[in-house]
Amino acid sequence: MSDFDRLGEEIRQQFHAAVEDLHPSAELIANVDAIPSGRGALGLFGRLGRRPGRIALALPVPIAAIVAAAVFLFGGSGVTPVSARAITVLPNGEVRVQLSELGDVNAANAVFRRHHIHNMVVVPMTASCPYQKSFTYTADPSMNRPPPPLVTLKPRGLAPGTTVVLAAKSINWHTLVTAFGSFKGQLPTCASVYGTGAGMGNITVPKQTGTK
Amino acid sequence: MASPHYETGSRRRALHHDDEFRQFAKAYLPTLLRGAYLLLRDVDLSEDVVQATMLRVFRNWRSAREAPEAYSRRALINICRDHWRRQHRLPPELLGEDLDGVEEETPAFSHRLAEREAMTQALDRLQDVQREVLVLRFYFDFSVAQTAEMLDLPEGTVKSATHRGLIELREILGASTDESAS
Repeated sequence: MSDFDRLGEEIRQQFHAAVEDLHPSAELIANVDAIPSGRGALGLFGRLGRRPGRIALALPVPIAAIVAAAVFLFGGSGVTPVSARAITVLPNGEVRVQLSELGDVNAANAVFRRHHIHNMVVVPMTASCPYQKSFTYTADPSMNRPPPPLVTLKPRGLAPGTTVVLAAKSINWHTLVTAFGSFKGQLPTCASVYGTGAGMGNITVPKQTGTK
Repeated sequence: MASPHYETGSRRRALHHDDEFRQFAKAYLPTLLRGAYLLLRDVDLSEDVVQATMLRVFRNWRSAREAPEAYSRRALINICRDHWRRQHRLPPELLGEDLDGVEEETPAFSHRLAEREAMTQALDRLQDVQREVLVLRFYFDFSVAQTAEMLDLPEGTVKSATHRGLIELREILGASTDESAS
């Protein structure tokens, strides 16, 4: 065995020794075990949703106030109860919003107002909505790199009169389309699903009926 | 009556495949997670990637079941590469920005954690290509040719990255050992 081979063997042993105490979390085991029953994707989002500190996706959004944003709104026209932990206002004024916990656009905006957050609005993303170039679109194959349902906003960092408008839609179970925009004056009431932007070229957007 | 027979058999096969997958996942999950950690140096991210890997493996179980370990290793590498590509596309000001007071790294209280932390820091200091090549070669036991194919690199580059990476890693780990000893 050459010196080089010995060195390789030494590094191999050090690799294994360094990580041998690393074990899958109970959550990961449960989620993987659930994959055959078709609950794997949901489990993935569920697990990520409980880790608000993770920035799984940092988007090229031209809005300085958003540190990293990824929105995941669940469908459904009914009003879903809003979880108490959906919005967290930190002592430094930073606001963290777990939109997956909000479940409904109207309920989300009601929570913002209740927390006196007036410079952030969530709007529905619909096929009937006209395209507005002020939105920045991204599509992310969340199968590979699921974004957490987390928005971090620094309201104090926004210019006076500016409002951040967010919209998102899960186009299918593995693609998430998000739209972000910074607006002054009249705000849009919806966002079109047919935007252009990073990752949008490879997705087929199904016809939508009504609003979500 | 042929149809119900077929459906029953199909269902039985599906259940059999589910069990096979679960058995494989249970046995191989730790190995995948550890390899992912060496590549990504982040436990949470590694868990995400491993779960996505397992989803991909299950979706292709019919072909994957012939050699599930090899298939899942390849899937893991591909998903890691997707992640790296996406990360490179991000504007630099958004990268690596930590949120205050959330998910601080677990302190290395124990020897094992310290050992892992030392390896993490050492791997961090390597060039990306060296780190990937070393982990593929010496943790996942891929050959030079397989590593070259997976990383889309010439074999010569894999060999040189292996050589330089090993020497650098030894120097870095040796230096950190000396520092902790003194």
